[in-house]
Amino acid sequence: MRIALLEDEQDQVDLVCAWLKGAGHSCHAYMLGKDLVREAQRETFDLFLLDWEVPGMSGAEVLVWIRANIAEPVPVLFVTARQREEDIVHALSSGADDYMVKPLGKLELLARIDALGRRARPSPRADEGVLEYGRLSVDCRNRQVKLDGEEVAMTQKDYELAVFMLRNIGRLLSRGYILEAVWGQSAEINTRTVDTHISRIRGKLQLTPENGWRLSAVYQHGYRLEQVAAAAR
Amino acid sequence: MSDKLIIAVDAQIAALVPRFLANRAADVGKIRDALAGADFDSIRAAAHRMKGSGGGYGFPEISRLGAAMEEGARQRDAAAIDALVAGLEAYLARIEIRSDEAQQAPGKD
Repeated sequence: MRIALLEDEQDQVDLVCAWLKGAGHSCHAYMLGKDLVREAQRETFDLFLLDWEVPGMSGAEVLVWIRANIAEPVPVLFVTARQREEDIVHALSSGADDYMVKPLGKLELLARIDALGRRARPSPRADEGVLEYGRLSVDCRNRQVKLDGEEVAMTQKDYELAVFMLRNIGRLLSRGYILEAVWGQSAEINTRTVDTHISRIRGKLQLTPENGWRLSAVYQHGYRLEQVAAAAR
Repeated sequence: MSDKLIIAVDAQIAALVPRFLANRAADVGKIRDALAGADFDSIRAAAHRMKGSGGGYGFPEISRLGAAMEEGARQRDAAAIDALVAGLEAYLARIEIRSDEAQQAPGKD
């Protein structure tokens, strides 16, 4: 998962990011609430990990902003040294999905993150066979995409991008998010690569309104794939 | 003193531990300076950080001392803070790190 961490203590940032990266997640750390909010307006995250007490805009205020401004229900896990019952109730009633009291334990933190991720976005099973999306079908075992039953010739990256977009129908995905998910966190390529491949799969898979799809670029953010009513032919 | 405390730290964060401990050693001096100036807000903030991070790094004793120091700062109890910061200094001096998956050597502290 791509995780945004709000934490103003460098020791804690280093620790949590090391744990998250070790578990295969990517960690984007922000020491100020306003910085996280600015990034969240143009980036996509799968989960927010918020410390309550940070300078300026608090974690609680960031939580309120997230719930008011991010359309999709992204899980929020509150992490704080506060342990009074009223603090926990306040965080949960403000929209947090879970709450952990510091000091954190690695295994518990990762287990809670995984549980929140599973609830928000059930992951595809490795043994999935063929996924159907109208005229499109994805054969996961043979890594093929078919359009009206005909195999579409695609590069490996085009296939991975197509499947990734189809698994996230309706979701606004930033270029950075797509890049990390498809090319990996250490890929030394820029986001224009995403634009190139998006354009290619749009053409190859005929992801156009007349075919019941809209793969649109969202200014300064990224892309969203939507199913729309196909135009009458 | 020969009563070294062998602490086994998670290999994944072993590289981070020396800096964490150096920061806590720096806290000893900062807290003493703040205590001399009766700056209990600064002590509370440093203690709060210790409380929050010690256990995660494999040092629950640092979290325990941080929590007690935070409470001492709230009570403006200079004598208690002075004793706790001496306890922290002594604890840090005893630590010897071993990179391991285990959490802490049995039978110690």
